[in-house]
Amino acid sequence: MVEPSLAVDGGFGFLTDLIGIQMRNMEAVRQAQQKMLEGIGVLAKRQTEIIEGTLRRSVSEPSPATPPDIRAVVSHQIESLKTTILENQTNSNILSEMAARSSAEVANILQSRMMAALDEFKAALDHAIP
Amino acid sequence: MTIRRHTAAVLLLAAAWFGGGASAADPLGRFPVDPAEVSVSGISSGAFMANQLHIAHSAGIVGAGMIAGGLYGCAVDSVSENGVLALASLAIGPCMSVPTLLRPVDHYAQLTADLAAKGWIDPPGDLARSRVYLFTGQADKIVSPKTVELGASLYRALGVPVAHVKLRDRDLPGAGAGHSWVTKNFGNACDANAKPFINDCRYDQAEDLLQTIYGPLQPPAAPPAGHIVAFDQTEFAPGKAAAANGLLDTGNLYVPKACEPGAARHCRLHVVLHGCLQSAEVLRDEFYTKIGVNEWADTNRIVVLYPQAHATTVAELSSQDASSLFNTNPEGCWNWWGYAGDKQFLTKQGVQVGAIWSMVQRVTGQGN
Repeated sequence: MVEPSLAVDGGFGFLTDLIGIQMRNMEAVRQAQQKMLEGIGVLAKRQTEIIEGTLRRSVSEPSPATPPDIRAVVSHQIESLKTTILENQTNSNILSEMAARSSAEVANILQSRMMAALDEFKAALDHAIP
Repeated sequence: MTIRRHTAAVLLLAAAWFGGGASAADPLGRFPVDPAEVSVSGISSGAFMANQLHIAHSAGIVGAGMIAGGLYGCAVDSVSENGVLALASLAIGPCMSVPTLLRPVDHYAQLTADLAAKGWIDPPGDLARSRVYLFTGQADKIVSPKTVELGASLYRALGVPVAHVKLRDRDLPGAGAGHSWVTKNFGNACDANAKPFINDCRYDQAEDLLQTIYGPLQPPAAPPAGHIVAFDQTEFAPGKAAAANGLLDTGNLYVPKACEPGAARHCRLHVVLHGCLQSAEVLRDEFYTKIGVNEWADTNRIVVLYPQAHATTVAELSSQDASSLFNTNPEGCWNWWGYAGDKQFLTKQGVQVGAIWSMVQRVTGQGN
């Protein structure tokens, strides 16, 4: 037979523990959301820089001063195309890495909180059920 | 009982000898080296690290040589309160193979000024007395010559007199040098871009580099009469966690006879940093005995420090999480894009920069 006052105290204590766990869970979700937003902001900024850089380079491309030689023109266009392909691939890699790093940070926050919450729940149960 | 104890002792000794964990090498010693005569050089990732070490500790380094690499901060995306965010994709992209995406030299000069303002690196003004050698091969398919050219421009922008910056990039045989430390008579064909990244171009890079930094030198010894010392690198890593921070347990030092402890005259110290896939883990003693530096060191009273990097795996990192893959170093490169979670990799607080500088201070008798 459990003494009623102890049962009530234990019940309130358990409830308090659960509320504490839930508050910390919500804080972790808030941090994760903040990281996600920061990641989106950084990605957007990077994309803007990429577009600006592409525009700047295309504007600063020197025009030929002498009458064009067809071979030189084709050769130049092929080199420009190769450069553009490499630049696009590199920009894609940069954006992918930034997105992956941001996702990893979010995953780390949520996973470590989930592990802690499980430990805290176990401790709260141990405390509530002697 | 005695036999069993004896067997256990033998097994422990064998484990210490063959096991990769503990270093069997002796601690790095002190040598009669003038602290005002310290210089550094490196190839590829070693060039980027040599450049980082030079710019971070410009008050204590008189010159630097960068071969096929070295543009300060080119992998950095942004600076925050606790360090920098660098990206591997910036390192392998703009810094190495897509130089059209590099920023103007003013951007890197401003980054240097910002890091100096935070006290993370020495004031760039200290660079003014430096002598700098840069080399890029015209057949280099791994690090674009434009990156090295921009590295030279950055030094000039930071105040190194034009006459003190030597950029060597042409007049080698055939198509020019591939991605390599170039020698007079050892290694792959001159235009190769393959292991061991040491190429025979009939050009003595060690001579040119060392004479750029130290001025005219005595002719080299053949063969060198000094000796190679292996030393324990783990004491220079935080918590002795060398592997987790991309450092091999053991480094190497070349000591000319004239620079043994107790020598009457002071010697100089030159730090040489290998590139990716060139550490002693991969090339054994090939890099630190075949690149031609020891021959010049022997006759010119130069102690040569060869720190060694380590190929760090996920399992070796201090903690494993969703970010672990970004923190590995599969090819045993020096840290110039912030692996192992090092947000200060290009400053005095950087783990590897700090470790190498501590080695320098030990050799020169400035540290403990």
